[in-house]
Amino acid sequence: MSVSEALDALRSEIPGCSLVAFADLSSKIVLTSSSATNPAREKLDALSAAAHLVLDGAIAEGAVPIWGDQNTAETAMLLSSSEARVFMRSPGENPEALICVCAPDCNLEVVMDCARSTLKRIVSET
Amino acid sequence: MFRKLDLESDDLSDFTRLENVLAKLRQREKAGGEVRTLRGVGSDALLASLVAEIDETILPRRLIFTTKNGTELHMAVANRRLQSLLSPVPDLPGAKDLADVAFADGQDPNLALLGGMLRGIFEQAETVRIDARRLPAGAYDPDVGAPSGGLSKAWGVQVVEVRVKEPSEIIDFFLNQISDDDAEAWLRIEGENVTDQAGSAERLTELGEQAAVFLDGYFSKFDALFSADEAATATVVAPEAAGQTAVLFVEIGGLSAFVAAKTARVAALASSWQAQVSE
Repeated sequence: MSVSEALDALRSEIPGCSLVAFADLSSKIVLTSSSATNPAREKLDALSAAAHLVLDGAIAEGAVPIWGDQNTAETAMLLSSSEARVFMRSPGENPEALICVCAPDCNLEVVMDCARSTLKRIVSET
Repeated sequence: MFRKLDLESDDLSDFTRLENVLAKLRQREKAGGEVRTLRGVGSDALLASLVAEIDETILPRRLIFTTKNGTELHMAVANRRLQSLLSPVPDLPGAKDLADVAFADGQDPNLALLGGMLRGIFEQAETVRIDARRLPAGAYDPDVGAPSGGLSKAWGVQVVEVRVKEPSEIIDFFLNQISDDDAEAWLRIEGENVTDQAGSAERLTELGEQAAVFLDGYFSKFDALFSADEAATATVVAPEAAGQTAVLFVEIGGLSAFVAAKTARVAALASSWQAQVSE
């Protein structure tokens, strides 16, 4: 299964999921995405920039003292009354992350479980 | 349930650094001004919410409704009546004919045209922001315009009075349901002051410092995380290990809470928050 196919499968698996993207955290670029509509480049750029901030950048650095060791952030969420954005770091060696944009009242536990399974599949098959 | 500490007897100087950081939040809020959004999802709910907004407006106001894709509608509203659609109008069929022409009353035939236009705009809108500005007195006769009953009939919507929950009710309900299975400690923040807290004294002292570090980065990058018109937000950052602690920071209407949540429970807590603010 290609990364694109894995993203398509993930989007169809999560009710209310409008966009799934796979981003490179170091270059802050979306590598590939799955969406019902063609997302604007600016939207993808903003998502990858946010992924960097919450998993590697200022937001993640500010959160590390809470868990008190050198482990990096694995998961982050940016939630509002209009949407839920979930970010999950890839378990592989490359600095990559999965981004899911879902309805604001989505089941976040389900989103995380599905995203984690998808990331493992991507890492094991690529 | 958490043991809450008596704020009167506790030394809150441990929160000095946090409160200095929170002062930045107040500055940001003052710069941004109060932003509200129409409640509801879908064109019918948004239209009903717009009618309710008109029904609550007594003094002359220019109400500006802005959709997420940037379409703006300006309306003259006073005395709980929609008096006219004001210029500038969106580039839509019939809009220019309605611009700056007063609606005589609730039976004005132009109301149906405006209703169709609004329905079309709201069908594409995820959120609609409301901005109210003063309208010079005397712009329209105070008895001119369509009241909410006429608007509801002309637009085929039913306005149901919904009591809007205060931000303090939402945040207090959320915090009070957090048990020690869910989190280690939390701080309730109002403006730049910590107004309530739960957890052990030792953990709270640490938490104040940790919140200050987190919020320093959060406020400096806020514009890259959320749009300024979001009424309620939540931010979660969690490590991989389930047994560790995650950050959960929620904000609504000048109130916020910083929660040291258990990683295994943070998604459920965040879902609970979303369920409340999405109601």
